Amino acid sequence: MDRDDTAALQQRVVAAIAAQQKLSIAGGGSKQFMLKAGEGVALSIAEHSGITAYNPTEMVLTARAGTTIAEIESVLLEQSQMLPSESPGFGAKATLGGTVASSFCGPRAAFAGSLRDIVLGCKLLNGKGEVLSFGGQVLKNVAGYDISRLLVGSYGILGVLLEVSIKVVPRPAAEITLAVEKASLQQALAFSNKLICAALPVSAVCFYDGLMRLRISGNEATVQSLPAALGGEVVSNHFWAQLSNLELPFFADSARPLWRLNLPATTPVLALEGSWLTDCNGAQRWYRGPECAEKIRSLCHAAGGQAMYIKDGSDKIATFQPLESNLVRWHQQLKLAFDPHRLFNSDVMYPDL
Amino acid sequence: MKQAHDPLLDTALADVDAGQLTAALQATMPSASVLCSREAMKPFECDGLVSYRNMPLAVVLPETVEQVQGVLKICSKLGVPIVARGAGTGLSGGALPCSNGVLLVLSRLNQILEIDAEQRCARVQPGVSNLAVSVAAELHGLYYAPDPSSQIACSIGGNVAENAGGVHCLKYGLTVHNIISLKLFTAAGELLEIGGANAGLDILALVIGSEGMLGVVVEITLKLLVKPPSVSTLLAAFDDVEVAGQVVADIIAAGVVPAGLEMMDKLALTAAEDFAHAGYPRDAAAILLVELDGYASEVDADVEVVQKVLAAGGATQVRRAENEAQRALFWKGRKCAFPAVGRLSPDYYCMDGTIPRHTIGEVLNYINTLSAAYQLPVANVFHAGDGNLHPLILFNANNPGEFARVEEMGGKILEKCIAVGGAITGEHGVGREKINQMAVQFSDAEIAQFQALKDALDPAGILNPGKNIPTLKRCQEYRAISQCASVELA
Repeated sequence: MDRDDTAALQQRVVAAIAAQQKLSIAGGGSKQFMLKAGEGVALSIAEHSGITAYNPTEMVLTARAGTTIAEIESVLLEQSQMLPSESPGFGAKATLGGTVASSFCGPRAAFAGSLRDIVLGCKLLNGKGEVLSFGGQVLKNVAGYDISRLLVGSYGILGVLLEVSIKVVPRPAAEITLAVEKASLQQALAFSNKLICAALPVSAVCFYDGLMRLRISGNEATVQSLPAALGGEVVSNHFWAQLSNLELPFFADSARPLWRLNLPATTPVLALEGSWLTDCNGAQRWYRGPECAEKIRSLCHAAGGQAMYIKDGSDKIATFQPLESNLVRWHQQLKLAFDPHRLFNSDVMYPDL
Repeated sequence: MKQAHDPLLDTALADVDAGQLTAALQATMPSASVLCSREAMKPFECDGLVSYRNMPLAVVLPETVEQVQGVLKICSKLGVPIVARGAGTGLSGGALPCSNGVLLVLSRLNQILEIDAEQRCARVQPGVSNLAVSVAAELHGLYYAPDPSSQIACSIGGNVAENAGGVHCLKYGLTVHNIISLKLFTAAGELLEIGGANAGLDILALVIGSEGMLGVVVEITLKLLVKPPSVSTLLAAFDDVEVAGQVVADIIAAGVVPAGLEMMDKLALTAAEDFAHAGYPRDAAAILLVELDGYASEVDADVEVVQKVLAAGGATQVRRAENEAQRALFWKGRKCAFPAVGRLSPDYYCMDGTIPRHTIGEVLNYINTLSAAYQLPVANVFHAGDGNLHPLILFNANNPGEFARVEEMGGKILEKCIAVGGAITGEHGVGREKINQMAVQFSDAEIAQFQALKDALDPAGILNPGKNIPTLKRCQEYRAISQCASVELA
């Protein structure tokens, strides 16, 4: 689909300023399950879609915010390229705008580049109804403040992403996934880090239920030589798409609340009762269990990390780890610098933002 | 030499009682750490962009983080501008002092506080030199990836301020990709920790490359990488610059991401060869240096692919470094290229635009046209893999009016970069130098958004004023002036 809705979206924002109407930015709705709904009326970017520039030798793709991740991946596949962040398509629902705004990455991101690592530029519709361009389509660009990266993971509180330029990478010639039994997370991470220190082209590491999954991406010769050397069983590469799209059985159990913890990779197992799935070589851990939010957050904070509560229908628990008290003012000031009338996505991240 | 204070660029100078300021500073730190005399301050009047000079009211060299905080609190209370400076190797006048302000030199905060081999990270103070981190990490088989050519001297704090790059960015990223967290003081002297696993907006990414306009960084946690077990470097010669430019795009199109992909034209490679005796072919019109690193079987396969692309693309000669000594020599020529070119002429002016790779040939031709029109020789040595040009314009500052011509020509090169879809600076920063071209790259609304952001985090505007973001008035003036070009192109 190729459609430029910029003028219409801009008019909606200008009208909202006049009517003092709050706006809740919506894409394909693929992440509604995990986030609070913003206040106000919906402002959909889903129709504002289409790849506007893609030159494979530049390894850069520019697309409107409503373009689906599925469409982008299929266009990249034709040129043997891919998104390094392995962001999930959630069927054909996830949009580029929503993916960038929520910084939603998959297992490869820890090795090949997360969304904030690969965003090169963007067009933003700010809270004054202005269409602004920051960054560009080149890999290096230090003119002005790096607003493009600030918008990654900003959950729409600073404005409406209209267009994003991202760095893409060549698809590896060969990939293999190994399943290796490990008694503990510690043993699994010791194993993976040994491989990383030997500069093996590891591209994903996950551990749960006593089984570690490890993906190696490289040329045919490297990949074929490894199973014998490393041990374990060769399993389907499809595992990583299931993990990225949260389709593994671990995610299906909806009886207990789900949390996503981001921690320094070497953090020991946290003393929380329940079940765990560890991704990103230890840096991202999914937790399901009976423990209360305060305990989860305080342990996480003590370990130098943060915990995101994945909403289960109730809005009683805050989605995000509270801000450090001395960062609150900077957040409030930044919000007002971009969205002086407080139109966008109120309360999605924090109250008063 | 450039005017220090420009009423169009800068807000009116605040009234500062110099006596009161120095007395307060001297009460905060040993008096030997506060310089006020012209003689003592002279070495600090410029950074690596020596054609821009200015004397501050005082230069302070704190030895502790607490002293830094003390300076900020004094300046914030008195409304005195503060310019932070690391090693002073910057090339855009980002650390040019403010005439009614304090120059805050962070070079004495030079401790590597911790190297954590298990987590592969290092905690350092801002005055530590870039290279010192890799030297200290080598013991653990680790290194810090960003490697600007000035890495022997440049400081990590300065690298953060400019989002410094280097020759290995294509594969390993810029400073912003290699920093885990920062401790910084706000303009008012409040300590913030940003990055790491902190929740909220990605303020870390915003601060990196902000040219000391949003805060003063006092501690940095860096990512360290495992030293690649296998490294291979190819040197390819071409008899045409444009052909070499096309091969750069071809290598990427073949699905290879080299660790480094550098290009030098005839003037640059001859100067480098004379200086470093790196074994560069003097008869070539251009050379490419292609470095591949990683796991041995991956590197071997990539080398094979690149060799085929180079041959098919018209390389007249391809050499693979036979050993570590020869590899180091290939790079020595490249890393010495700036000083080597410096020997050809009394002065040179280094540009830093970035362009999409497929326009390299077009832009190099345009630079040649400008060079002929302005009668100023240009040597090109640059990071071809990421489209980051470094044209070096040769001139003699003692010839009246010559520097003005150089700046005008440099401005045109940057504007060409914008026209082909690139940017005015890839890694040196806007600083004071490229502030005019900001008006070409950005609209008034975009400049106003930058200013709103700056006002939000430094409401009194005391951190590095007059740099990076021009006033709207200045933008309008520059756009009007640049309508009428003074040198006609053939």
